[in-house]
Amino acid sequence: MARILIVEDDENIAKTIKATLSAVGYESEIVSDGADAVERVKNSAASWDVVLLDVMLPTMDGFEVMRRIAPCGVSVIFLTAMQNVLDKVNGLKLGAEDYIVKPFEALELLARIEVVLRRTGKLSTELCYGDIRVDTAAHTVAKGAKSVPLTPKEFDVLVFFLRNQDIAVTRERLLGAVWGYEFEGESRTVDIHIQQIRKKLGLHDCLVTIPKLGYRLESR
Amino acid sequence: MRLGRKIFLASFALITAAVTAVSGVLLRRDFSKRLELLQDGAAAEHSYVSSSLQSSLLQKRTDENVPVLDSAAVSYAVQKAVEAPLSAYGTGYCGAAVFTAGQGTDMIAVARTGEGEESRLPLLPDADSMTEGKCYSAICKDEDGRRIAVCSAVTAKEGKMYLYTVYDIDEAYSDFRASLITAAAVGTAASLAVSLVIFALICAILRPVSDMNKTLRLIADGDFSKRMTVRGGMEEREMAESVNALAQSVQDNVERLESIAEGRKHYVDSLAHEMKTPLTSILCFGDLLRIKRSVSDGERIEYAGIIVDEARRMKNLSSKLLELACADNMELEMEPVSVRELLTESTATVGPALRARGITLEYTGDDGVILCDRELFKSLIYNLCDNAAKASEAGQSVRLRSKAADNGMVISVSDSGIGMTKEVLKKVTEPFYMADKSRSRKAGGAGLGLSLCVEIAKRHNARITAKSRPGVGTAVYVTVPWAKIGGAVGDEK
Repeated sequence: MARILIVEDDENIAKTIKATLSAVGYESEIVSDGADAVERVKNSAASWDVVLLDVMLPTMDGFEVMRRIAPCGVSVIFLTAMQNVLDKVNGLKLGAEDYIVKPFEALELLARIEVVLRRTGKLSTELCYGDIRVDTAAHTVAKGAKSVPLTPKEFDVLVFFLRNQDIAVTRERLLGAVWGYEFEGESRTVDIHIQQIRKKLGLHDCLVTIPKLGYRLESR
Repeated sequence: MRLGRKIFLASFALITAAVTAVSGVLLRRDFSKRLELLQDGAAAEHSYVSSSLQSSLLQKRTDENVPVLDSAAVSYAVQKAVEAPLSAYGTGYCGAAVFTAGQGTDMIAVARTGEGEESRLPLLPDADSMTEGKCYSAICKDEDGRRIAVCSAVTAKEGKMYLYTVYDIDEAYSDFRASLITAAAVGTAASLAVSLVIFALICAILRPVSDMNKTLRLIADGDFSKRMTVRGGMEEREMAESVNALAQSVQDNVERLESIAEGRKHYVDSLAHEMKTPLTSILCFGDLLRIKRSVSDGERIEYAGIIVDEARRMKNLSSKLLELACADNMELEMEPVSVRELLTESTATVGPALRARGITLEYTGDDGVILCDRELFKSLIYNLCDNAAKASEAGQSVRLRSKAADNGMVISVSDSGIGMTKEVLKKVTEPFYMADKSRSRKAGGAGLGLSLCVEIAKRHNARITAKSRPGVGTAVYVTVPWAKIGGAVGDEK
């Protein structure tokens, strides 16, 4: 499972990020000082899959930290409270993979991290759930020994739930993650796909509907 | 067209015109006078020839010893008379003719200089209309030049005769023409010279104007540090100094505005940051509580606890912001207040909150009357006490003092807490600045307390100063001017 370094000086924000990452099984560590962060990365760059870097740090600012750890080749996502374009451009120019604007919801953070992990090939391509095995590289789904045919979108929805188990996902978020935010269809689309997945894989008891919220794939 | 060239052309044209006009007028007068003289001369010459004619006739009569001459003799005598002046030198006389019956008919004598045809005599009056003894003259022009012709009727024993004399005045005319040309040429040359001098002067005078243009252009393009060199005549120096004063003023204003804009941006950035930080924890923990399948009791208490803390922090921030905004605009209700009473009251209000944190608040000091807005001033005291408490540990104390001085009442709040370095002390009244972020945040602070105090002090014409030593403590002094005796409420704004 991915290892993530959290560089954030506000204690509570650091805690909330750690809690969010743990919810999907990522390992993480918190560092609250820029200089410390640089050291940690330099000493063990290979062990970190993603670094979440706050822009406003007390002694050394986030950009300076970025400059120093860029040579290590670690993927960095900036956390910033500012909306201004200049900061964003700056960060990306220095080599960051992405940026997240505070405040953010849990799944927002997780989605960004997933994108980066996929891009750097650190995302596991094999997912298991009970006797269901999914290979994201080969695009295959097997239940037991039999291969199960799923439409492309059904596949994506399944993978999304497998990666975010025990977390309630709203229709909006699912739509955004799988169909893209420009999609103007109804949220009925989501319901239909969920039904299909439940039917084809026998997940009626596991992929549950949470009233007023959305759906959740519960782990065994 | 540029000014210099315009002036050059104008002065050249004007001076040429003036000089030419003046010399024209003067030369014309001279010429007229000369013509008059020539006419008088011609008339005199005519009289002379006329009397010479009479005496010639008399002489012939005497010679021939006859009372009346025959026509041949008359011709002879008259011819002699009209030829005689020709030999005289430089008089201008160039000929004469005598007729017995009006112009052009029955010519009995003629004499002339030079070659050529018979002079065509100008239109002189008819023989019949000529009165005896009167001379008639006219100026005529023929191929040799200008002439004055004079005629008169002469009566002799032999009969009436008409004498025409012609006088050469061409020289006068050619002189006049030559003078005019000379005057024009000299005038033009002089005018050109003068105009060039004027042009050079104008260019020299305008040089500072073009310098000024260059400098102002550079300043307008953004180089506010550009200045003109002050040199030259008084007007030049004045102009250069004025331009420099303008440039300095522009530079100062630009710098002031830039720093204000900078400050404002910084304020907004800080504000955004201070609001978004607690919101992040609230949003994310709230979301987790909502979507996680199972939340342990420990997790639930921790997450919810943080949500409440951060929400409190935001509450504090928004109320301080509101106070700050109101302090700027609010109408103050100033009244004379006893300092001791005010501070004793404050101790009673704020003391318990501090005691809960293990910090004692105590007050002693002088009394005096100051003019202040009660509520606002209390808010000031509370904020200072709060800051002092935040810097202190449990078991320490915060001392509230009042001391009467010459310039006003000095109220001080001091603690034995963590203290600040000189650098930190300088920045401490900046909005959102927190000397020890984590410590302040833990206590729910937003960094606005001191900005608020500074605003309130300003509205009261009071001054805030502070002294601090790291590890020893901090003391904040508020100097409030004395209430003027008999001063109206609300006087001091």
